[in-house]
Amino acid sequence: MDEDSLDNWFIREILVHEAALVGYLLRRWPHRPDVNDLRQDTYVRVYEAAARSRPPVPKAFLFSTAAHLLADRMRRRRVVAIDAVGDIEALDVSVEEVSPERRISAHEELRRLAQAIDLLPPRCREVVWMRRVDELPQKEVARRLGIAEKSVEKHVMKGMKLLAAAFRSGPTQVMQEAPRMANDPEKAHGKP
Amino acid sequence: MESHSQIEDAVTEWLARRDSGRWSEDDEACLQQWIAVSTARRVAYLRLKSTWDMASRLRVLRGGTSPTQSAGAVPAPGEWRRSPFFEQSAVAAPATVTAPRRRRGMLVAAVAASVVIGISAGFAAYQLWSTSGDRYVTPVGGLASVPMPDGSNVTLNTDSQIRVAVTDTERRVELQQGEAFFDVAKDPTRPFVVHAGARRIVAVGTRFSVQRLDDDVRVLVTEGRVRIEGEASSPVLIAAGSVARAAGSAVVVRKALPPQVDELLSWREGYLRFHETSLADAVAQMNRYNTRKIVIEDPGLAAIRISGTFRPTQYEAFVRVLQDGFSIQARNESERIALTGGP
Repeated sequence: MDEDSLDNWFIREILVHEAALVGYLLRRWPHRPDVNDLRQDTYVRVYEAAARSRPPVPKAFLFSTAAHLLADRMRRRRVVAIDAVGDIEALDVSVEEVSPERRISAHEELRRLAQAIDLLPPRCREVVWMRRVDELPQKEVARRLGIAEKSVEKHVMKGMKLLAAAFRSGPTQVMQEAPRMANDPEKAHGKP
Repeated sequence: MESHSQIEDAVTEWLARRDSGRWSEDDEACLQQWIAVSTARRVAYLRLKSTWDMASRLRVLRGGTSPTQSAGAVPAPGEWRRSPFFEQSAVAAPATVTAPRRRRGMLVAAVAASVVIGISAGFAAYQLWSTSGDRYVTPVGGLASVPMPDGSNVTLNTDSQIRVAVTDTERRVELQQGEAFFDVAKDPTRPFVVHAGARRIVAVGTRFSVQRLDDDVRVLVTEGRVRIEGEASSPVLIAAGSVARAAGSAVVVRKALPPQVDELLSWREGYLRFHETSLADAVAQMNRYNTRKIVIEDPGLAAIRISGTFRPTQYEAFVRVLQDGFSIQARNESERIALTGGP
């Protein structure tokens, strides 16, 4: 199995479910930073398992992996949560998986991307728009905004993160992250 | 061990640097090496890169969000909603045309529509009223979304023509020319029937596309099932994920793989996507959208495989990619562009 097609499979079959996955995790573990970790741990396990053999129903496999990791974490933290695990059956995981075309129309996808860009802090949004939509060179963006090229690059870095959060996980996450980062754009990457 | 946010920071730094234009093959090799260290790095990279790549598809909004906007000026948040691309119902005011004058009306409509599309490059169809149902026309290079009174929706591709008639007992669409994608609202009491030449494609609630080239009809079903009927053959049932080709008395059905589905339906976004498509097929596709045709003069070129995403009406960009990527020579002639092999 070649790497590249595994990567594409992962983007196509797994990453598309991020909003549902994050929603699922948040309902059972309402702590955002932990959920982001759980999400990434889930991705790592799914990717590694798929490298050996690809699961026939990717979405179901993704959610059962997440449920196991969640149970694991709860055991270690000695937290008892009602209805936390064991309800994979009740999950809205449709076994009927069809072409990617079916899940989200291209039109809808573009609308959500545009909405995600609107949620960026103003200067960051300008930079992302000029770079991605107008496809202006970095130098030109720096000139128009009267800022250093390095700053353009910083805004691009921040834009990538926020865009992935907003587009993939859904807008609620950005609402929580954006204000914090907006106040302190240059230091935002130096954490945690 | 690296934390996820550390990884995320590092990935965006790599990607921003790659995006900046200062990027060499060595840099790329370093990045690939860095990713290969752990799966955590790889999945973070895939997640951030795929979203960032996807954002460039918003190019369709460029300069089109409002008529006065100049290139490079960033529109206010939400402004993009006014882009013709998102205004699906941007249908020009209906023109009443009486039967004898219909042909002339059609011509005027087609010209008017091409002007609209020329400005906006977005969704617009011209509608004409007549006694036998509503007609919708797109010019060469056009793309239009047509909402139907029953809640169904039709997306019309380049150079296409349909006639829609919805009654209490039937929903009838005549595909007179070109290609259309149907998103059919469920209604068991009124079958949805697409007439394409000698074929009838019957659906209850489903999504499918029909392309007609004279009597050669291609049907792609993405959801539900449809039945193809015709005088020349017995009815054939087509399930989701299949593509059927009906020509003469034969109907050939085969499974459509996701890349093929993507390729066959990408036109609805205003793009053509090719996956290892032969140059001959790709050129034939591009030519459907342009009056100025590309001609392959050197038969040796026809089998070259190409992949990528193109705006179908921007054939210059397509030709430029061929020139740069495959050292193909392009000769501009008044009515056509001739492609020949390298020097």
